[in-house]
Amino acid sequence: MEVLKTINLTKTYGTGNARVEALKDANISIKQGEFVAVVGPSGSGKSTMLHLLGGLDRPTSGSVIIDGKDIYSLSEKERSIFRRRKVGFVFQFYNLIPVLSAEENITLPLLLDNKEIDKAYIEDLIGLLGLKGRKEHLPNELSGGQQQRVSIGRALAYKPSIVFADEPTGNLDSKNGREVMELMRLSVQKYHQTLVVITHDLDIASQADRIIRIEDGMIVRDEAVRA
Amino acid sequence: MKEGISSNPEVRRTVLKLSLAMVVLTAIMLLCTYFFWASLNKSMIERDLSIIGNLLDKHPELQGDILPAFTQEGSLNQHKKGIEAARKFGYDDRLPVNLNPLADQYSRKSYRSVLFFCLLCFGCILGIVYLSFKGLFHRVRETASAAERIVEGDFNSILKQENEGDFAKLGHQFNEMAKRLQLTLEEVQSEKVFLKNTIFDISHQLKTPLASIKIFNELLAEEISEGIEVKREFVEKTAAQVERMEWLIKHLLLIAKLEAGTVEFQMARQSLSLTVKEVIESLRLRWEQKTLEVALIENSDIIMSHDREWIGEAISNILKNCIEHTGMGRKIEIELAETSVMTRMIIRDQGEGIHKEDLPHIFKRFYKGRNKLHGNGTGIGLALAKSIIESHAGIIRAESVLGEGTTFIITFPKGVI
Amino acid sequence: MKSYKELTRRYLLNQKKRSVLALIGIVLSVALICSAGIMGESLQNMEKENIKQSYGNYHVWYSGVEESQLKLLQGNIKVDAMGSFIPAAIYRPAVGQSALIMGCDKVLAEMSYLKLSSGEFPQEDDEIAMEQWLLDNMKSKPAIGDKISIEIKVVTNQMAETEEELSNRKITKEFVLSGILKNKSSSQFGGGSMAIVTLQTAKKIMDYPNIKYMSALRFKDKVPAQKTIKEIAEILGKKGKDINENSAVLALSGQSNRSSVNNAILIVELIMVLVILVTTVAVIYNVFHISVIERIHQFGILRSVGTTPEQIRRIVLGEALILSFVGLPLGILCGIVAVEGVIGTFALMSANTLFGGLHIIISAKVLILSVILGLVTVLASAYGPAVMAGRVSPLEAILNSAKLNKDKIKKRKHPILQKIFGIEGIMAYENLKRNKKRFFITVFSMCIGIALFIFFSSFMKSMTTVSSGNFSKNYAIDKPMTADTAGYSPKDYEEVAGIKGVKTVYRTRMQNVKTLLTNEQAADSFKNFVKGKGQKLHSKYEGKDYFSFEGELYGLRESELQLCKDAVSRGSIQPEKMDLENGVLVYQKAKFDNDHDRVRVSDLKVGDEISIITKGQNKPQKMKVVGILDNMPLSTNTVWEKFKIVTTEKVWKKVTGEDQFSRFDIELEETADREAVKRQLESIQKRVPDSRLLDFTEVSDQMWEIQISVILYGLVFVISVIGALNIINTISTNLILRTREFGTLRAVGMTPGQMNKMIRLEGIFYGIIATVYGGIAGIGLARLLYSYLNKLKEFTWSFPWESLIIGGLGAMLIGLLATAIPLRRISRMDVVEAVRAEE
Repeated sequence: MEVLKTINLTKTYGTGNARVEALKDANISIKQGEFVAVVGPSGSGKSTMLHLLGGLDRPTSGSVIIDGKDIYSLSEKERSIFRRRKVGFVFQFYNLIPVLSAEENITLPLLLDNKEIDKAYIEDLIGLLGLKGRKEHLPNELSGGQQQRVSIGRALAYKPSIVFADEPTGNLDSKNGREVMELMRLSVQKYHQTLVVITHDLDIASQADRIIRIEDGMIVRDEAVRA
Repeated sequence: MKEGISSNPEVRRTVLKLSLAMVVLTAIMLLCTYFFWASLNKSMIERDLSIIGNLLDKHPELQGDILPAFTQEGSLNQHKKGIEAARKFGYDDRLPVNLNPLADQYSRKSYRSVLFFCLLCFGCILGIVYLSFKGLFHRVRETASAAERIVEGDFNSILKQENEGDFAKLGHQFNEMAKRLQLTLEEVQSEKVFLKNTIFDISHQLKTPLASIKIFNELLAEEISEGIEVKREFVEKTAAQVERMEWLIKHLLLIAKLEAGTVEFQMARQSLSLTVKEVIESLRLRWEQKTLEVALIENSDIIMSHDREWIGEAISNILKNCIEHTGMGRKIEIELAETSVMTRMIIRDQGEGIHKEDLPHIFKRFYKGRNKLHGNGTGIGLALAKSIIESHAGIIRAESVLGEGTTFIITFPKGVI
Repeated sequence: MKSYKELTRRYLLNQKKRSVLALIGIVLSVALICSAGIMGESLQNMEKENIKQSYGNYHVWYSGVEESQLKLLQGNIKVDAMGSFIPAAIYRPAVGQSALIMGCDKVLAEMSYLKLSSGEFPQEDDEIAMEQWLLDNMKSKPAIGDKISIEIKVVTNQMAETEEELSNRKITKEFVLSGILKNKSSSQFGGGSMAIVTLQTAKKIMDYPNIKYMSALRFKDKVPAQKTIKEIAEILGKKGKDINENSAVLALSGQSNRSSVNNAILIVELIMVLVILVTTVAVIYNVFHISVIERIHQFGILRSVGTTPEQIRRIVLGEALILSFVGLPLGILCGIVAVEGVIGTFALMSANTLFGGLHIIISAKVLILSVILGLVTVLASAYGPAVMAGRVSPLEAILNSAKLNKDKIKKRKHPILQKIFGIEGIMAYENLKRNKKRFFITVFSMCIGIALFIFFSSFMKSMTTVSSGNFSKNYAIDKPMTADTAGYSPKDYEEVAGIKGVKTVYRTRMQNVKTLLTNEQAADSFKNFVKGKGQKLHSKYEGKDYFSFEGELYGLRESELQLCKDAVSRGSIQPEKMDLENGVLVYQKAKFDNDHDRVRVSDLKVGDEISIITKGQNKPQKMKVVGILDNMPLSTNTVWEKFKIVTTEKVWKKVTGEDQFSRFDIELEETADREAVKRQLESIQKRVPDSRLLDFTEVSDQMWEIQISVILYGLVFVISVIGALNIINTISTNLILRTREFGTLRAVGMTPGQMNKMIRLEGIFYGIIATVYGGIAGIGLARLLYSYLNKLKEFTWSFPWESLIIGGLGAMLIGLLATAIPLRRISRMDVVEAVRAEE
């Protein structure tokens, strides 16, 4: 079952001489439950594509359809709410809210939605992420690895269809990085989610079900590695 | 935790409409009250003027005193005198409203207006509430018809969900539910396919040994007079095939059971180390035969909730695979470690390794790949191991360098399974 | 955490410094608005009381009321109180002095604020209460209870217009002194002093039938006064001059067209509130603006997680709201305390000043208005930044740099700057110009502070020159200008000069003379005025046509003429020459009526000849112009300035044929016994009827000046503090946000000394630019004030150099101070850390 599709997705910056085609006519299709790795050299456009897929940025042309909905036909407000409920983001630099505790950071999407919090599920999640003893701590009291785990928790809190991760291990040492990747895979497996990861780490890419390679804004390879 | 409904746009709109209506109605009411009192004031003064005229008619000499009597407060004495004089005519402060002409007229007016106004308020509120409910029930009906369509199998109807408020959230969850249903249907579909494939695999796999046995049987039947040696060889060969078939059937059935989800694991918090050690022991014959060294490395005794039998089976299959593909006198390491979030088992061999292009597929059933997976390895051992591990909410992956060895990394989450 | 709104509270607590700063801003502003409101209301109330005290607490009085009609008035439903009085007789204790013997009831006494210094109001027949000075002038010096026998002229014709018609009967009557009235400086019912008797006594004295009353009425609240006055007039059958409106009191309730002091107070209040609001807006906007910019990264994160723009706006506005809830009540409290404290201190300082009798009224109206204004201002100022926060794109979560990219950098050369301040100066200057909008807002409140400072300083200066003149005097004896009576004699002068304790006596001879100008001599502005007014300001003498109007002819001694020396713009003071040729100095501007401003009357030059006609003469006399005056310090204090001709005493005596003085200005020794001197002066003063003794010590200009300065400068101080806080906040944030930049500069080779210089220069430049803009605004306002006041009276314009310099230095100091703390941080920083700095 298809969960995400793009049609001629294009993003261009600047005009005239300073014109940069970050992404050109990208057409991809991702199935529910797939683990997709997006690879490519620096500046190839992978981050741009991820931002467009997640609704963070506006494309110059083309569309992104998630669960049958063209997300750029929505208004800014609607897209925000869409992001809240349907999509989880894990960034390279954790990006936690410094004034909120770990638990609060995780439940942030729920609180924004004024949704009743399933306490059991959150406890479960916190346990899964190994943050049981840390949930009252502020981000500046947590190590890098722990912060990234909080970030993952936040991405999963609303049980979104898709989890996007932009170099999730980029800021971690190899041990923490490996752990974080395994955690993400464990979670999406458990909650039947789709995982799209940008990475330059071939190790991670090798675990994926599908690898998409981007170079100079164009998709040069898109194949399922595991049937 | 009880949470309010104020974030719902429908609630907000209704509150706004009601507030507006109240403001307008209050303004109208105050206006009416103003006019009412102006009119009453006028009537009161008119009445006083008649009284003054009436009195002056009979007593013109009182001219200077009459108006002050109306505009200034009389003394207590005067008040008493008034009460006594008026009582004789039945006019005191206990006079009911309907007998006091001015009060009567105006009280009627007042009751009428109050009634009218209440009705007006009621009408407005009714109207607003009705409209609000209408909107709400429209959404409910929308949801109901979407549900109906799903029952019919049409998964294309999506409810609007990109708003704040409970209906949007309902829409979202509804859509998720539809998705899940669709997914389940697809799974059922793929399971059917899987079953078909399994049956096909089984029959295919069984065909060969069955054919061998048939041949041997026929040969035996034909050449009854052959020597004991030949007979023994045939019997052995047959036995081997039977064993193979047995193993095959057993494991296929296991996989089928696992994939169908009809297995009940006996989970217990117990020593993973012990499980591993048991497996190592059970395979001692095999690895000693190849003079391999199998070592268990661990910092401490790892306790994990698992089904010893099944996990043992999984480890056993992997270990067998390693033993198969490792040359004489090498080392196989099994390392157990745990972090705060997961328990990890790493099985390393120094065998021939797996080609890069085969690596993603080794956990597929009956995958042969470039190099023949020889021996008893019928190609389902690893698939079975993966199934078992994933049923324990764990994951397995393999890394390998051709010619140097293969490493299997198995990870189990520590959280509640 | 219950809802995402908790984020609001967390952010507030987390950004303590910023929150406190905004809070201080809110508290100060609300306090200022509140105190302005309270002060305004109290002053208005005091003004109302003053007017009632001076003019009487009634709306109208009718004359010629029959006794039978009294009841009608009393019983009228619109009437709150009615007081009756009958002028019965006139008592002349000495030449030029008079007192009115009046019968009145208790109500009238209350309306007229008549107060006793001792004794009681008359209740029996023949009892009388008199003013103290009347008793002083009697030989017998009576005390309470004593019998007084005086000769009085009984009023026989109640409708009389002049004094001759008023009375034709003199009697001697014996009264019993029941009480002594406090002296009143002004009297409402016809001038002169009063002695009070009962209505009964008055009628007895007058002793003829059908005596008419005069009734004063005070209407109830909310009664339409003008309409009612007409109604009652109709009822009584009165018209025209029988109806006497108390316009001053009527104006209080807005029922008359005359503008009163109240309007002026209202306007001043409004301007003050406006200024305060504008400053507050600047501060709050700035604080929130900066706080939003600092948190752009976080807002980006929130947006990426699914926060709608509306939710983010609510978070920011929520912060503003919470700050308001804390700050508004605090502000109101501070405002009340400030007013009570300041006024209370003033009241202690001296009882008889501008604020002496001030009752502080704290009305709910003012408080509620302050709260609403404060709330609206805060929310309005925070709204802009809130919208900006809502527009943050989710991508900001990913970009990890401080948001300075709205800056426009242009390449320009600054040779002057380079010379004076070096490369650091250029960099400092360019840094300032990066974000024009932010720069402007920061500097704005500082500008306002400086502008106000300059404006108020000029204001104070002009006020003081009005009241005290160019020389110091403690007392002045002044003869009224319109009276025909003779002024003070040389003997009087000798006596005054001879009083023990008197240091100097300046004497002025003045007479109103008809001034004639030829057509060529008259100025165009005057000609236009005459044309437009259609007034008859023409005369014909000896066959020639002249413009003629009333001017003031002054005769001064040399010592007094020298006082005018600074005011001479053309020509010079040469007393001997003036004696010989009837030489005069002229002051050429005059105001003729209420509807027009002061007009320049003539364009005379030195050597011109003008003619005057003095009192009692019909032939014009020629005077030669020897000098033009911009100002005449010894002029009589009139509301409308007149055309002035100044000459020597010799010429004056010759031309007028008189030898009398109209005014003495007396300066006392430090050690003089003021009471004794004052009494002696009073006795001399009373020799001329209707003259007055002005006591400048009582009015106490000094005190008044100090008090007004305290209030005005206090206001400027508070606004400047707000502005300073704003600048300090902005500058320090600005610098801290650029840590990475500074790190890079250091890494590239800038020495700590150069860096310090650059940063300090930035601070100083802020101050300089604030001074420039603020100075222009302030001087502009001051100039406006000058031209407005100049329409009434002559004022000199002096460029406010001192205030400008003081203001400028202050601003630069604050700018410098603002850089101090971040400077310490930056100079201590580790270069490597700074370059890697993440916000």
